[in-house]
Amino acid sequence: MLTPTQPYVDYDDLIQEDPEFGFRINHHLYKDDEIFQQEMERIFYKGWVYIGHETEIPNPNDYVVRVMGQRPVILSRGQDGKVRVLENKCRHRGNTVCQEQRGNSKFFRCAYHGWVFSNTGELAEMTHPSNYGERMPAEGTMNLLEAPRIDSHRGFIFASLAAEGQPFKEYLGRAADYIDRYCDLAPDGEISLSAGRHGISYRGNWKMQLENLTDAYHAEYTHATALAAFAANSSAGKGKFTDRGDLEDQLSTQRDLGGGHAVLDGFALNRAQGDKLRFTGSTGTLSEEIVGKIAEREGSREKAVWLTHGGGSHITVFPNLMILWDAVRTIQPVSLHEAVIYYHPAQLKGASQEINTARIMSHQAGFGPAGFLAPDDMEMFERTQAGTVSDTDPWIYLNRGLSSQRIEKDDFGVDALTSQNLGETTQRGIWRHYKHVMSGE
Amino acid sequence: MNNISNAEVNGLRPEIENFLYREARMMDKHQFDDWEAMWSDKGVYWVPCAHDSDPMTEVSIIYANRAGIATRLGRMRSKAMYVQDPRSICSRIVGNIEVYPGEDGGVTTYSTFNITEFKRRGHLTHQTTWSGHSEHKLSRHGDQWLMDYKKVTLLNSDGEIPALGFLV
Repeated sequence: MLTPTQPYVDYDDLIQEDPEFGFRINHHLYKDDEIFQQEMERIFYKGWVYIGHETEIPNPNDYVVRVMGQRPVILSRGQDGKVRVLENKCRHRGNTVCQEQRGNSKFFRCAYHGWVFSNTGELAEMTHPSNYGERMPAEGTMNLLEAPRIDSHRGFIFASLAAEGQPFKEYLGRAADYIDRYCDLAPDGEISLSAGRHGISYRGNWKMQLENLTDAYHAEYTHATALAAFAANSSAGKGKFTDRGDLEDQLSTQRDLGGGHAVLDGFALNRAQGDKLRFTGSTGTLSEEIVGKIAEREGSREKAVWLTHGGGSHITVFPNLMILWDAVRTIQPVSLHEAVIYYHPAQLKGASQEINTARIMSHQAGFGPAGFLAPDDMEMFERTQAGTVSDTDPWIYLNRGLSSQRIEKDDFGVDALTSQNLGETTQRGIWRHYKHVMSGE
Repeated sequence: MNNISNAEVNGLRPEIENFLYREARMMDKHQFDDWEAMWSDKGVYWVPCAHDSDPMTEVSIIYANRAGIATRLGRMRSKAMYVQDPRSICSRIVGNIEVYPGEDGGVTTYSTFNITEFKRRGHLTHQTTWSGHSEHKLSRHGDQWLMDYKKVTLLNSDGEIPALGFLV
């Protein structure tokens, strides 16, 4: 179907819904370079992309280096205090102007011919300008290119490289409620990504992580050893973690929030388990310290217990942000066959260092290059990628939960397409949105 | 316990070096029981993300106390730790060993390692290298040395690294 002489990609053909076979995707979506290039253009250069968090650049002149799609950018808080996304590319010969991962600098200087740019993007100094003569570039035309649209929600900064397009609020959509809930579990109502980050690379397509975060089905198989290890160390009850019946509890749901955003909803199950929570994934938020501080903030102990016992969000925000348990993650596509996942432990503002340290420890026990959970996921992604070589049957059927899914009110009282959490409602939601974006509809 | 002198350290050097080479072999061969037996009860195993980070306030790749080391090894012994199924075939060189008097009659060592990892997955094979620096704090228990502390700083620790499923 996809040959070098036929570069046109028909996403209606690759992602299909039909009463006969249900929902299926073609595995060329993971292995076709034309598709990868179109993803960069249509998803990462045109749409909204998560780029970083305000707390990573708290002070004027702070910056971190990031990659949008495959383009190197600098997330910079300028001398004027304003946050910008600047292309990390000198306007003279195109060299990258910033080589550090993060830092504090008023200027970025290109080492090649000495051009200096302010961290607001303006060309501050052009060396030997007289040599241009009549061809001197007009004032303001040689500044570092800046992402024309940037916005944020609860400290999460998103940017778009397209001057026009979907408004930010509309893009974030229902994901906003779940980001809010995650932040509300901090006594001050804010999280801080101030505890560093680590990155794990895998030899597989970036979308495998996109689909994986809300795939509850794989946990008890892929993560059997991790769940056993955590259960053995858990005060909440030995063995509970790996109890299949428990995982399949009808209180655990998955929801397609629209816009490619998807969530595993454990709020109801968490509350039903009361103090025996095993899976709130917000280490320390059940402590009296946190519950007490939130009760004070909310003016209601009942509300504080409801919030904290419900736990944090388990959400994928299309296309590259994920929030789960003690950390915020991002997906970084590197190439068709390679991606990196970055994990930033989320520290709770207003919480004691003891709780925030516990969150770091809990996070790294599971995630990062040597955690108990993430490496086995990477292994599965690499095995999936390896399997895409066989074209005999290129179809992947995503029909779990299709016959039982329903519209149901979520924890925020809003209707959402929902199924029991071992379904594939979330994956279908992600792919439906992907098709919408990639088809340019 | 009194600290040992520089002269004594020189005398101990062959057995300390042997300890590090033995540890390397246990890690290469995935001999988890033998490697675990090289730890003292005080054991702290740290693989930081950055050279000068504080593990209490910044994320690490691994930070485990003695109980955490045991839990980690419990998982590694399982065939269902899929990132190591089948297990990596490893060969490591430990070198540039420096030995100094440590605290309470122990020794502190600094060394450099270079690991070649060979991985087979179905029809695919992959070979890669890992490098870095280790710091060990060893204490004497009768006639044997045990690790109280081990810090492993990978060359690319603050970057993007593949899943690390074997011992470093």
